[in-house]
Amino acid sequence: MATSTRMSRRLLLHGAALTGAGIALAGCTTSEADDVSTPARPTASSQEQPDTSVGRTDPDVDRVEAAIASERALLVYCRDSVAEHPDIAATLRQVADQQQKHIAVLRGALTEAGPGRVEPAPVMRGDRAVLHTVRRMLVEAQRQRRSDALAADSGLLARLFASISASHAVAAGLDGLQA
Amino acid sequence: MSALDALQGCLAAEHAAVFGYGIVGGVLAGVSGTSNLQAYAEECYAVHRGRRDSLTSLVTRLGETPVAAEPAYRLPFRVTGVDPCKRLARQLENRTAIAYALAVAHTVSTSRAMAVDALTDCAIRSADWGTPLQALPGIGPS
Repeated sequence: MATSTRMSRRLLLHGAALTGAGIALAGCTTSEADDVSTPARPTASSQEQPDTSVGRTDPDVDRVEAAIASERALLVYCRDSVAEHPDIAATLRQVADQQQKHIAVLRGALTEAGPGRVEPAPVMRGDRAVLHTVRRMLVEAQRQRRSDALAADSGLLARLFASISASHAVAAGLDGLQA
Repeated sequence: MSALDALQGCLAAEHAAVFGYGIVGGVLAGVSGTSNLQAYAEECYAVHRGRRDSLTSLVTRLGETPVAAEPAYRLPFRVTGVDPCKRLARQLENRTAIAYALAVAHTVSTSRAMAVDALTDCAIRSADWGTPLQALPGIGPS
C-alpha cells in the first residue's frame, strides 16, 4: 500500500471527547482525575496535515483498519462454512450478518476504506469443529474490540468499538454455538 | 456533554433499573413455575444496585452531588405477567446500555473501562431476556 494513500485516510469519528478544565476534583484519585480532565481530541478541521517526512499515521485509523481485517476474517470464515455445513447454516448466517454490519460501520468511520483483503481460515471438517472455531473467533474479536475501545483517542470511535465488542460477547453466547 | 454528565446519566439509568427490577421481581414472585426467572431477576437487580452504588461513590469522589433516584417511575406499560416482565427487563438493559455507550465516548482510563464492561454486561442481559442479536448494542438498531 502506498504510503501517501495510507496517509490520506482520515478518521471521521472525531469529537465526543472529554470535559475541559474547571471541574472540582477534590478527594479523587489521580486516575479518576485523569478520567475527567484529559483534553478533547482535535477535530478534523483543526487537525494538521500529516508529516509525510516521518511517515506518521493516525493510531485510530490503524485501529479501524486492523478491526476491519479482523471482522472480515470472521465474516469470510462463516460464509465459507455455510455451504459445507447446512445443519448449522442458520447460526453461521446470523453471525455473518452481524459481521457485515460491523464492517460497514467501521468503513464508514474512515474517509476512504482500504482494500481489505483477508486470507480465509481453513474450514474445519465437522459441525462441532466449525462452531468451536466461530465461538473462539468471536471471543477473540470481543477481546480485541474491547482493547480498541480502551485505547482509542476518539471518544466516538471508542463507543463504536465498545458496542461491537458487546455484540461479540452476546453472539459468543448464542445457543447454536454452544457445542 | 462532560464526562461527569455522562457518568450521572449512567447513574440515573441505574436508579431506574433498580426500580424496574424491583417490579419485575415482585411480579414474577406471584407467578408459579418461574423460579429460574425470579433468580435471574434477583441477580440483575443486585448487579444494577452494585453499579448504582459504585457510580454514586465515583461521582461523589469527583466532587459532584450524585443524581438522585426519582421519587417514582412511570412504567411504560402494565407489568402483570411473565412476558411484560421480560419486555420491561429488556428495556431496562437497553436503556442502561445506551447510557454506558455514551459514557464510553466521554471518558478515558478507568471510567471508560467501567463503561465498556457495563455496556457488554447490559447487552448480554438484554439478550438473556429475549432481545434478538444486535450489531451495535447501546448505539443503533440491530
